[in-house]
Amino acid sequence: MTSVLSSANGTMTQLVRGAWEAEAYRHTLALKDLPDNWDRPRSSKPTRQAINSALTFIERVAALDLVVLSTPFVAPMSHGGVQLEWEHGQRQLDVELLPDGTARFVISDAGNVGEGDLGFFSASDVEALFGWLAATP
Amino acid sequence: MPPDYLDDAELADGAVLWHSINPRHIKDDELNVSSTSYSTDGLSVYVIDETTAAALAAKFPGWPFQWFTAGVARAVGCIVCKEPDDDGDTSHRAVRRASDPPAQLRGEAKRIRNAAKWIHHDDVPEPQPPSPLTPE
Repeated sequence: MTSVLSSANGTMTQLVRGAWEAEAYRHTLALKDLPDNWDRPRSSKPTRQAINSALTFIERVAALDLVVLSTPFVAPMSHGGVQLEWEHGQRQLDVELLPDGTARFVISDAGNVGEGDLGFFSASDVEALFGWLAATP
Repeated sequence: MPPDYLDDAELADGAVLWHSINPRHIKDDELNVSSTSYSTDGLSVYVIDETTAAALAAKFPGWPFQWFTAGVARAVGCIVCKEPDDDGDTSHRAVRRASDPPAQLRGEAKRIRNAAKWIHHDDVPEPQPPSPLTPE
């Protein structure tokens, strides 16, 4: 299906595979309308690179077509990044898109926490992370 | 010269630290909080024994608070540094990575978030579920 997504600062048309993907795009695009200092003094609104990187990440996750996934929580970060958070069973995956568009992640499984850097992520990076997330009942 | 970051040795592990939560970081109707709220370089907290709930509510109008102890921060590899806030408030501390104090908290943020609890107090707002985006 095709979804037209808009915010105060722009509109994009995007082919989407399902409802969660459209919802994730919509929440991510809404971050463009945040003012500076939206959080604490000296906080920055998400950069264009972080937002674009988040949109790309969502698109690559959706391309995996994993039925177990639901809409991620999309959060602005006070340094100008964007965080996407998925949960499946006891597993959690937080992907942080930094102001320069690079990515890093924190994974959590029943209290055990790990982290890593993806840089400018590839489709295989996304596949590996979501293979881990989905491989739990 | 870069600043020296030292753990506040006079602050007991049992000291209760309050952290303000931006309502944008409340995830769902169960009032779960995004780790984003804790994932900063120098996590801003206040020692409640050195200030009051009303004073903190005035600094962060409309924001609810969560609490955890200094011992929780130290147990996940952090130090609790005495750093007055922009108002010169000396009840303020910054929770930092012990191994790399200027760095952003990441895994530590998640562990602290998992241990933190909501504060229910007459002087501070109750947490509220997020409001949905307006449909287009």
